[in-house]
Amino acid sequence: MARFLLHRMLVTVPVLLFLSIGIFSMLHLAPGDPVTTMLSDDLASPQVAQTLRHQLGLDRPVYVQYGLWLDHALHGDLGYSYRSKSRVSAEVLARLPVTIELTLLAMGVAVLTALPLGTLAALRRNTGVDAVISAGGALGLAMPAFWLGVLLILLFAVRLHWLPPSGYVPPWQGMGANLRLMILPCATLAVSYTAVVLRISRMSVLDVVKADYIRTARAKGIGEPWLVLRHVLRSALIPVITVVALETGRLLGGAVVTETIFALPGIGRLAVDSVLDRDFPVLQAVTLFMALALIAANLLADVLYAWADPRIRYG
Amino acid sequence: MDRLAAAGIRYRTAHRRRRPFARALAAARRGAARHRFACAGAAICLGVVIAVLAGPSLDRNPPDAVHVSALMLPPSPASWLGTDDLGRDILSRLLAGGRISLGVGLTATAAAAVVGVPAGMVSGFWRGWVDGALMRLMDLLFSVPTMVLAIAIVGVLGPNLTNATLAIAVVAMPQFARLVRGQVLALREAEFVQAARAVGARPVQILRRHLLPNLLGLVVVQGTLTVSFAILTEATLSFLGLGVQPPTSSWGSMLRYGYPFLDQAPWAAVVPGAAIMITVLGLNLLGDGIRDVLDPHLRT
Repeated sequence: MARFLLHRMLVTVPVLLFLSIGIFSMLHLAPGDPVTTMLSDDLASPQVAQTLRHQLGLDRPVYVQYGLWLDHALHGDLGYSYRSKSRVSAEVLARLPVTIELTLLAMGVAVLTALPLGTLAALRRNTGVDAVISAGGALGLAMPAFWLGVLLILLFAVRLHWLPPSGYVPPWQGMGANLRLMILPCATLAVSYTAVVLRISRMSVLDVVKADYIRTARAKGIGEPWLVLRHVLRSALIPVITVVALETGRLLGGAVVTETIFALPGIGRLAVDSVLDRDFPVLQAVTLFMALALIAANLLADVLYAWADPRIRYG
Repeated sequence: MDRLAAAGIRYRTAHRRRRPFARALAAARRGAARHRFACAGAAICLGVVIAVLAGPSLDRNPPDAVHVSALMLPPSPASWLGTDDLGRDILSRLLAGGRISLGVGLTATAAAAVVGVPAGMVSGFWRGWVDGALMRLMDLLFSVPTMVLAIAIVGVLGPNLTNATLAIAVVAMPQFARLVRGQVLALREAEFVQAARAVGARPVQILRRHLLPNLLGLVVVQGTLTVSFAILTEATLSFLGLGVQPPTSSWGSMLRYGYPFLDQAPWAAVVPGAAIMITVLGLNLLGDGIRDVLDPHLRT
């Protein structure tokens, strides 16, 4: 197991390296000059622009710039934001807790609703219950996250005044206020993810229920709840884990939209702002960070497989 | 038992010979009953396409016409879906914006398929270093969340409709390549391919005449689902201000500009979102339905 994990982690090194090269060259081949963006006032003389360009190292060849960036990045320095002039690493770190809280909450909510509902739909296949759950899943999958967010704000904030429409309070300043503000974004983000997990749990349980060993277990007289928990769910869990991990990308992408609607100061919001401001060092860091998160999620899935299925041994 | 079976067969053949049309109709009806969701999906898609194609030409009201005297009116017989903050008729804008949304969806999907399908075929058929290089490239594209990658691409190229379409095509392309590669890997060992090889067919001929037809079903299913993905992604990008730019509007950008007036004119944000959802739902149902028909093994 340890060797497998080490191998998997080493494999991600070239992926990240190539990815950083790709993103770096893409951003530097982009039209538009960041220096002109930074010196937005017309008063700046060409000399000032030249000095700034030199300070930022933008007058050197791209590969030298990349080497320097990589060297700094490995030392934890991701450069400076063109817009706020502060450290990119500091900006990303400051916004990280928001996104982590949002995505983990949404993931938890999604799995905890999708798994029981999917199992129920599969066990009551071709009944009204199944039809309702499946139709709900199809609707959830088609629902644009930003539209759902708008509808939720309209209902719970504008009409009913139950919940605040947007904003953010860090948990250490008040857990209650933080959670109240997180309910709507979390629901928004969780819906499409829930739909995906629901679908795969239903399919997976349907598959397992047909297996011989389930019939054997039934024949031995195991009670239905125990059968489902111990024999069906455990085997059905593997595809579910895969999808939960694979679809982390959907969750992270959804976080971008959700954070924008609900004015949450997270990484996704940072990505959108950096695009609108052409703040490339920030965009670069966020993109790489998102890739890292996705890779980590898939690694975690591999570890969970071994837990769910004792037949799987890595080594 | 035997006699019954014989009678059954005789009945069926006689039936087939006498009433081919009725038989086809009955089969279609049986199919429709079995694939109720797929039929609903097809009906939704058809409705949306007809509305978006025919709507703007039937509508005498220009979608961009500003009416200062009719700001944020609720739905009424004069304007069925109400007006927005500039007094523009939402139904007119919905129909016109639908052309953009569907147009981007189809264009991006076509571009993704045109690049992804051949890439997957070449990769799966020749394998070797081409396969290695292409698949590592796909891994790279897969390692960034699609939405984030699309945003980054639009960020680099500049936010506008063409770049948004391009970005969607780039992030959708690896799906086609992977899917097709997997299928080709399985098919290249099939007997009919070996036979074609044995009679001296050139690789390109095998790919085009023997493999492509066998991939079409898969590509159609993936294509349908990609159109829905592309419409959703375009709407998201436009909602974030990274897609279509004013005065042109798509469903996503209508929502973007209707959203600040949520408490005064909720219909301006609710209507375009509903249009997106209905269209995406229709495409998803249709795509899943076609998959069920083509590959009963995968039936859910």
